[in-house]
Amino acid sequence: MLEALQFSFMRNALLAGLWVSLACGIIGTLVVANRLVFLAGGIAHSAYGGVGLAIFLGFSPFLGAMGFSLAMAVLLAVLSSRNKSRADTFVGVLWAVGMALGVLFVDLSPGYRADLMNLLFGSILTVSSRELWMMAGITFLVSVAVGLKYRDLLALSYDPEFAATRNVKVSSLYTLLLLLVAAGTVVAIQAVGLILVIALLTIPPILAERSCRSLASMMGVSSAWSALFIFLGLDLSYRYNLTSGATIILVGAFFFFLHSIWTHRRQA
Amino acid sequence: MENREIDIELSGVRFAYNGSGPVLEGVSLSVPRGEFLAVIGPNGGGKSTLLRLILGLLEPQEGTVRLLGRPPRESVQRVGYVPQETNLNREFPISVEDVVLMGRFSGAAMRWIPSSEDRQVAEEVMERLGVLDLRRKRVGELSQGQRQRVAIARALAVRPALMLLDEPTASVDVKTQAALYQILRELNRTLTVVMVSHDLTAIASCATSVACVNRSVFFHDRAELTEEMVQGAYGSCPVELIAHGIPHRVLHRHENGNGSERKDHA
Repeated sequence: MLEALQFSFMRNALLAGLWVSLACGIIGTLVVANRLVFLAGGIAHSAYGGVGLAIFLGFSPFLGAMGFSLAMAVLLAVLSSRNKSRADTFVGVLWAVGMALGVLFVDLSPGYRADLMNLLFGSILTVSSRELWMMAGITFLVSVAVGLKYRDLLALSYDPEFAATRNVKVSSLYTLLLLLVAAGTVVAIQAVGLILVIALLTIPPILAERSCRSLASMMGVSSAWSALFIFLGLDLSYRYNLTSGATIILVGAFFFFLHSIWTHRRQA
Repeated sequence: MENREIDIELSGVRFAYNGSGPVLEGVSLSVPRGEFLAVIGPNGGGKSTLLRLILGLLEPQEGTVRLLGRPPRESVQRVGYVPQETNLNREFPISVEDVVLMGRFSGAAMRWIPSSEDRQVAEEVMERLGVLDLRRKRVGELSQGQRQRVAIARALAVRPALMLLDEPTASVDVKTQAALYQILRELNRTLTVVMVSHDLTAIASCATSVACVNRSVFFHDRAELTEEMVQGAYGSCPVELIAHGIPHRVLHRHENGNGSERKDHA
């Protein structure tokens, strides 16, 4: 793969992979620890509405996805704070509504958009320098926010009821958590697309979970796993001319199954 | 009863979740300092809701709640709360010590690194509950009884004036149960304790008073149950065994039960 580094798209892809790994490690850990997998899937898919809107109005699909999923996060936080037991229903509805809006916006826009497939299934090889900067900036902001609020987020994730008796502002913190999940998810979409992103948010933290004694270390180990999947996946897709997003996911899935067999045998 | 301070006071409290009928209605209750109150009642009778109202996690639609002489939100930081354990994520990556340190959190200023005082307090309470040698373990590796000790240690790390426990002995074996009651009795020497329990033997072994919760609350200022309380609390599903000290006292179901000494405290 070394000779591939002479291409600027490959250097960009590796750099993007680095930011995606960090975002996935940090946000994926929060998603898995708070059991927000379905919600993260909903936010990722509804981002398609933003993509469609951006194409319709002619601005960057990345910004469209970001704006839409942040709005979705706030909406879900408000709805589920009113009726916690219905939260998964709201996710299901917004998931489909977001995608449907995206499809209609694209219908209304003239011309054929080849890059739509990239957004659905990943486009790490076509990331532009501008997008790279945006990914770096968002990953940085997400890391800083998680760092500053680490203990609050830990308390919320482990036991929200007890946290509330320690004067942690549980509901505003939950909104922040969903906003962070939305931001991290949109960064990760750049690597594997909005349909496949959920695997990249869940597999690395699940592999990391059992060996870690703190959320912070789980974030670190998950980031390392993500980086391994992305770089191995990129290498394979370059060698065999495969779609990079799908290859990255299948590399992760391969490790996930090995890990499952290994833990199963150890318990038996 | 001499003039003791009142740690928990509810008057005329009514609470309903969004759009459904009231879970609690006309609830008046006062718990003096130093009491060990056992809260019993059927599933869905409102026991956990009562605790959440006392903690200020829920606001009543009618009536008032005072906790340690103030509105709950102002005094909740002085309460050691042991929530029901069932909805915790066992795979969560956290060590026993870090769980106990959560008792030292306060919403205002949260540090990344706990202070040496926090560590000292955590060590002390872990020692007291016999979990100090488990401090580096993941909570997921612990037995049910050990996890309950850790939850109690975390509540004690608060340095509470009052302990509130929601079914701390659900799903632990009888021996562990007895050990936990022993711990709670010791705590009760210096603290007011309120414990929700499914287990009627808890009343025999620790309680100084009993509240039966089934939409309304019957308070009884001694650690015994009258038949009417039980009939009222458990409704159509009568409890047949009531322990009161040792040996156990068994009451049979009366068809025309006139309760002997029920007290509705205002």
